[in-house]
Formats: sequence, structure tokens, C-alpha cells
Amino acid sequence: MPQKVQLFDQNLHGTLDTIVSQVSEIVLGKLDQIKLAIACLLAGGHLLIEDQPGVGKTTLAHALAKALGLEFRRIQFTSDLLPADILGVSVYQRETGSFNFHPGPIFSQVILADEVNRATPKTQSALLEAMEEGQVTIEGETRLLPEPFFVIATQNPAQQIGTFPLPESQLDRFLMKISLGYLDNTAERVLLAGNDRRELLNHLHPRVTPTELVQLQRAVNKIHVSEPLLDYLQKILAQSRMHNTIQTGLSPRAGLAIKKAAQSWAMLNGRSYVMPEDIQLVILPVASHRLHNKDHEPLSDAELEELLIGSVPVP
Amino acid sequence: MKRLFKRNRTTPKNIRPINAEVVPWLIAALMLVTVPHLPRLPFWTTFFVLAIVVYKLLTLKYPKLRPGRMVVIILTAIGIAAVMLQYTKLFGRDSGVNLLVLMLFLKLLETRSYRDGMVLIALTYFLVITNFLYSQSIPVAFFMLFVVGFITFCLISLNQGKAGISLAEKIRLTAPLLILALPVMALLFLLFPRIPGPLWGLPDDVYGAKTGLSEEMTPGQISQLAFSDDVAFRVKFNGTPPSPAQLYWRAIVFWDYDGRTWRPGNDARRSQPVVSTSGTPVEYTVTLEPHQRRWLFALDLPVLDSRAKPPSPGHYVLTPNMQLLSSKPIISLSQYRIRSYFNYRLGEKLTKRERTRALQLPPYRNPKAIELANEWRQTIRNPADIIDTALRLFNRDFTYTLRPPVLGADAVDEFIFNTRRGFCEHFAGSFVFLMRAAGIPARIVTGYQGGEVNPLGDYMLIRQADAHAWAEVWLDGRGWVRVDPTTAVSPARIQLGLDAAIPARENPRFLLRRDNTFFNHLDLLLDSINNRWNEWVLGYGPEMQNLFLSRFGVQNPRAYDLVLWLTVSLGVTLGLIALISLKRIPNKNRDKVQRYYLKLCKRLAHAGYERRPHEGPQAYLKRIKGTDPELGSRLDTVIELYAELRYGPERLPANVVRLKQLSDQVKLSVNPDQRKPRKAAM
Repeated sequence: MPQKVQLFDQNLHGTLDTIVSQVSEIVLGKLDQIKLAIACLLAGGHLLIEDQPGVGKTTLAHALAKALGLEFRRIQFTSDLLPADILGVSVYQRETGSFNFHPGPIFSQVILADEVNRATPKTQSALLEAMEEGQVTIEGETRLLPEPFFVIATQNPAQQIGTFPLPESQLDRFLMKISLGYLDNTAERVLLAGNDRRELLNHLHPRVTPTELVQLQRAVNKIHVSEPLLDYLQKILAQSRMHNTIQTGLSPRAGLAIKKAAQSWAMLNGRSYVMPEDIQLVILPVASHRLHNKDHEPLSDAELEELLIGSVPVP
Repeated sequence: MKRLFKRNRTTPKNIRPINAEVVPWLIAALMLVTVPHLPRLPFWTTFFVLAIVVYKLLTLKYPKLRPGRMVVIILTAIGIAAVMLQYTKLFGRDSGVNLLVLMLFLKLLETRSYRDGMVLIALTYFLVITNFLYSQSIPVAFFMLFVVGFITFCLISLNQGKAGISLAEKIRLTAPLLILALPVMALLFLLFPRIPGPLWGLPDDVYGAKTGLSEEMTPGQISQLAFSDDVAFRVKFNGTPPSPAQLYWRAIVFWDYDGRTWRPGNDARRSQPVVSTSGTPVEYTVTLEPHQRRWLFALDLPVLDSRAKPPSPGHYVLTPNMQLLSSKPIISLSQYRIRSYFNYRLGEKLTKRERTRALQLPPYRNPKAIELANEWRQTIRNPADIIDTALRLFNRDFTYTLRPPVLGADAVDEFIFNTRRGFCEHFAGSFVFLMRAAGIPARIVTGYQGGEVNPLGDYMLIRQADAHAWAEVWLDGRGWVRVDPTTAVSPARIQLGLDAAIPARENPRFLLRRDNTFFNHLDLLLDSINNRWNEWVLGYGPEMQNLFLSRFGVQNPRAYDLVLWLTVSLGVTLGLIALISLKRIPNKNRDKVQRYYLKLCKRLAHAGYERRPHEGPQAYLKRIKGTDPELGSRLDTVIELYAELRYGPERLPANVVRLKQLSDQVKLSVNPDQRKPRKAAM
């Protein structure tokens, strides 16, 4: 038999399987989305979930945080939410005669920014700046955010009333955008017949320590991406830039994001190297929120698939 | 003042700006194509060009300096005015090129958009062509070929789009483009309808003076030519070349002498002399370098007959002096075919007028020479013996030298009685003087003597240094007879050539002395290459084209046919190129692993499972499994191994071998002939 090339620890792979199964016990029938979400977090990227209310966005975010054993805060974005509500404020202490900083909800490892597009741009950008820099500056003092730091943001479809759509540059900060969609019949039946999801969440015990999580994140970078696949990725990028239905092609940052996500996805599937299928699978979640057509409308998944995957031969 | 500069410094949004990285390359291309022109154009053009380049480079760094429309318009007006002042016209070769160069650099100055860049490149290509209006030599051709490559490189850089590609990649893109253009170039060259005459000659431009024989003969003139290695003409003989002593290339005949200068004199109203020839003629083709004069060169004695081929353009005549004269000055490389007889009798009857002219002497000059000649006439009487006496005199006391002393008013006297050192024109001149004084009609002929056979090209090379002057005397009953007094002084000049005849320390052409083997061989090699170039590339006129096409069974095609042929063959060639480049699957570039995989995929396609181009190995396997789980399970290992080898971090040679084995095994069981019925059974 051919010799197997092993690069990473079987234990880590076991851990990953556990996390996936734990989350999928809570969020039913959404295995692909769960894996994508985990891949996104393993790649160190922030996740944007876009869907109708009530399909389990919050539950997914909550379950992920729980399964990864991370400290979790939820911020419900509303139109009157202020930056200080996220970042924190300094309060005057009469006893000591000094200002005392009360950190806001942003100082936790996993933030669920619920309905992020309901807040005003000013508040949105406070969050998004923190996402990019990994630190916040309040009243002239720079404070580091915890490690790891994930933002899982949910947003309602842009067409809904009372939303402030995120600008392109800020959408770019999210590694992936996924949507959940309705459950299929079987899964919905289990959901209806089963226990309350919140209840189940409380019983979920993390199987992974923060150290292991950092190890996993480091392992992502070691997943091999061969030369032909880099060529393939470049061709996809070039294709997005050349095509005349697309307003602005994928940026080099988007290229890096696709590579990282594909590595992460390959690891999640127990492989030490990336295959073309990995790139094909992650490309839509990574690229869809970064591309617009000439009328500044998002492209449909089918269009994108034809454009980015269908027209570039696999190496 | 402010208006002179752009108010709107940013490029308007709807105009595609030029890729700033390309501009320095464009400047380089422009400079390359202009540099050969600069020495030919007035000096201010060089300043203008350099100033604009410096200005343009400054604007690259400081965009604020970018000139406004008014500045460009003013500069354009200045440029046009300068050309008008310099040449008094805008059209014509020099003025046209000058104008083009100026405008091209002004275009460079205002180049901001992509479109400007394209225009600039198109014009630069055009400027390449203008270089051939001045010279069509091999170095120029190769340099321009290089420049075309460079411009193409700029064109590719300009069009690379938003995604930047590396320098190496641009060069990789340029090379195939140029190679693909070669067949098209060859077809256009071979089939494009040719008009008689030089391809590049412009009628209204007079070429500058070149060294060569002149219309007058003064002592010291031909010896100047001895310093020149320039090629005068090349000759290809049908059969073996004649012996050196027979190689007298006749050009100009001089009758009139004023004591210092020999001139051809007026030949009007003279009738053709009677010529009788015997023996076998020698037939040869002369390729003549342009010398701006009308005379052509032929061996003594040329005859005109139907087999002769005139030089292009136009035709030639044979004058009463048996000189060949073209109807137009030779301003470009010309070729003609001619026949000559070595045994001939020329002009057995001399008219009274001719006799007078052939005996004319300047009055009151050279009394000592006239005295000597008179003495000969009285004592010897027989003209043939007088000639012998004169030749003996030269043989006895005279030296052949390239550096003769300067002669005064009585040049012949001084030469014969004092200095006694001279070059061919001294000997020929004083000999004819003596003959005339002795009552024998005589005249001077100039041309070339000898020639060097180039063994590498099987042709004879005649250089300016081979220029020579000799005498013709008219003897009763024999007509004009050639007498070469130089033979009497230095027989080696005729037998072995100039280099053997003069002392080595006098020879300026040290490197080209015929006993200096290495340089001589190199020189001959270069000249043979040059000769081929002249013959096959520059000389490819209508005749050569007909000759070439007749090999393919096409006889005397009309221009219309040629255009048709050209169109068809271009279409076929371009079609083939398109086919090749579209179908070009770089099999050799693919690695082994992929080759095995593609082979397997091909076989699977025969079995009804065609892989879609965008389908990765796993997805492909999954699809096969969907329709044929049994086959899919057999493919599992192969495809997994392939994926690992192709995309994995390490490639173990053993696994590559294994992949080949495995995929070959699959072949046995997935034979398309066997598979199909089985599928039907299932």
C-alpha cells in the first residue's frame, strides 16, 4: 500500500470531530454550515450569518462558543445602540477620586453581534474596528482584546426595513458569510419533538481547552497548499477581476482568505493538504459578500458558482 | 500663466488611465527607435527629444508639472515651424521623419490614457519602418527586429490589465508572439506584389556623396580611393572567372586634358564605333552598390544583346566610348547581367574629329615631355615601338607608390623627369600625354582593375581600392588598344593586386592585407553574408519573385493573382496558428502524476464518465460512485493516491510508480468494449 503522509496529530482531528458533533446535536440538519462556521473560526476569521429571523442563527453562534469553551457575550444591535455600549465606559469613582473603566461586552472571546445591520454606521464601525485591530482605543488608552477573539455577527437580509447595510470595506472584515435556511422535514420534526435548545446548550460541556484551540489555529497554517492549487486560486481571482458583470474583483486579501479557509476546511476533513474541492467549497461563503454586480447588487450563488468555479479548469 | 497647466490634474473618470509602470518602457522603446535617426537629423532635434524625455520623467515624479493643452499646442506649432524652416517643406524623407519624431515625442508628453499609449505604440512601430528609408543593411535590420520585439513587449505591458504580471512573464508572452509573426512576415515578403525598383527608395531625395570614381581625373584622386575598403560592386560569373590580367572593369573614358585635370569631354553627335568580336564571351551578373552616378561597370569589352538584363530601374545604353551608362543615377543597390568579349577590335576607323580630340594637348605646358615625344617620333617612327619605348622608360626608372609627391604646373614634366614616383593615374596620364605628343591618338580609361574572389560566396568582390586608370591608344589597322603603363612599372599590381604592389609600410589597410589571413577571412565571410543579404533580401524584386514562384509552377503571376495567393496563404497560416495555439495542451509541461491521471480520465471518458473541467478528483469520484458504485470503489485508491501526490506536501517516487501501476490496472477492467454490455446488463 502507498505510504500515508501524516502531518498533524490524530488527537487534534478527534477533537475537531467532537466539536462538530457537539454543535450539530444542538443545531439540527445544518452539518455543512456548522463545519463552515468552525472552519471560519479555526482560520481565525470572523463570521457573518445572514438569514431570516428564527432559523437558528443565535443558537448556532451560542453553540459554537460553548463547544469551543470560550467566554461568550451577546450584543443585541439596535438603532439606538452607541459605541460606548459595546466598548465600555469610564465611570468617576467618588471614593478614589479617579475614573474607573468598565469594559463593555466587546472584551470577551466570542461576541455574538446580533442583527448587526440594525445599528447605526457609527456603532457598526466601532465593532468592526475592534475586529480588524484586535484592540480598542477608549479615551486615549489602547486596550487589547482577549485571545482568541471571534465575532459572529448575524444580519437580516438587507431588504428589511430599518437596516443600515454594512459597507463593502466592512463586509471585507468577515472571513465568511453563510446563511442557514429552513430545516428539512426530518430535522424540523426532531426539533419540534425534542427538548428546548437553550436547555441543551446548558448541558453542553466543552471538550477543548483554549490552548488546544490555539494549537488548532496554528495547525491550519501548516496545511499544505500545492503549487498547482495556488495557480488555480490565482486563476479564480483573475477570473473575478476580468469578468464584466462584476464591479470590483476579489482583492488579494480575499485571495488570502480563500486560501486560509480552504486550509481550515481541509483540516476539518482530516487532510493535511488542500484539494481543489476544498477551495470550491469555501469560495462561495468567502467570496459572495465581497462581490457585487455593476448595479451594486449581490450576485446569486448560482451565478457565482458558474463564474468562479465553473469556468476555471481544475489543475 | 496658470492656464498653461492642467486645471483638472486627475484623469477624467471615464478615461482609462495608462498603467504608470509602462511609461518608462515606452520612453525606452521610443528612444531605441529614434536613436539611429538622430545623427541624420538637425542637432536641435536631439535637444528637443532629450528635453521632452526629461520633462516627461519629471512629470512622472511631480504630476503637478503636467503640461496643459496650450503648452502641447504651442510646442506642436514650434515643432512644425522648426521643420518648415529647416527643410522648407513638411513632406519628403528627412523632413517627414523629423516631423514624425517631434510629434511622437510630443505625444509621449501628453500621454495619460491607455488610448494615448496605444497610439504611441502604433506610431513607434511606424517609426521603425522609417529607419529603413536610410539603410537596409543587416545590422539595421536586426536592430529594428529587436526594437519591434521591444515595442511588442511594451504593448503587452500596456495591456496587462489590473492584474500585474512579472517581467519574465511578459517576456514569455512576447517571444511566442514574435515567433508566430515569422511565417506571416515570410509570406508577406515572398508574395506581396513587387514593383520594379528599389523597395525603399524615395524619388525626391538625393543621397549624399560617397567615395568612388569621379567624373574628372586629377593626379592624386584615385590614390585616395586606395585607402577605402568599401565595396564598389560584386560580380558573379557564369563559369570560371577570367584571369586577373583580363579584369579591366571599364567605367569612364577621358579625352580632354587641360594640363591638370582629365575630363570626358563632349560625346554628342558621335556615332557608334565599329566593333568586331571573336572567341567566347564571358557572361556575368554585377551587383552594384549605389554610387549616385550613372555609369555601370563592365569588363572590356561589353556587348549589348538580348540576353543582357538591365539594372532596375530603367535601362542603359552603350556610349560611343563603350561605356555602359544607366538612364538614371544608381541610388540603390542594382543588379544587371552583361556579356563581354576579351578578343575584340574597337573603332578601326577614327573620324577626323576624334583624331583631333585624341591628340589634343594643353598649350605651353610640359615642354620637356613634348620635346622627348618629338624626339621619339623622329627617331623611332613606328607607333608600336614608341609605346614600347615609353613603357621601358617607366619600367626602368619609376616607382609605384600610394604616396606620390605633389606636382606643380607642369605636372607631366615634373613627374617624368624629377619625382618619378606615382600611382596609376600618374602613369596613365603621362603616358597618354607622351603618346599624344608623339602623334599617337590616345585616351584615358578609368574603372577598376582586378577583384578578389570570395571563396565563401563564389563571387568576386571589387572594392574602391581596386580603382585604376589605364590608357587606350589608337593604332592604324588595330583600332583602340589597351595599354596599361602601370604594368610596366609594377606588374604585381595587375597580377596580384594592390596590396602586393605597394610597400607594406605604405599600406593603410594593414588589417585587410591579403596575407593577413585571419582578418582577411573574417572580412570575406562578412562580405559573403552581406552579398547573400543583397542578393536574396534586398534584391528580391519582381524577377526574383517570378523565379521563386515558378518553382511552384506559377508563371508570371499578375499582381491580382499575387494578392489572391497572399490572402489565401495568410488565411491558411493564421488559421493554423490559431488552431495550434487553441489546441496547445502543453503535455510536456505537465508532470508525470497529472499525465497518468489525465490518461485515466480519458479512458474513463470513453467508458462514459467524462470529467468536467472544473471537477476536482474527489467530486469526480463521487459522481462515478453515484452511477457505478463498483467501479467507484475500485477507483478509490487510485484517486486518493493521485490527490495526495498532486496536492500533498510530499511526493514519494515509490508512490508515483504505484500510481502508474494502479491506474494501468484500472485500464484492464475498464475496457470500454467490455464495460458497455455490462452496464446494459445491470
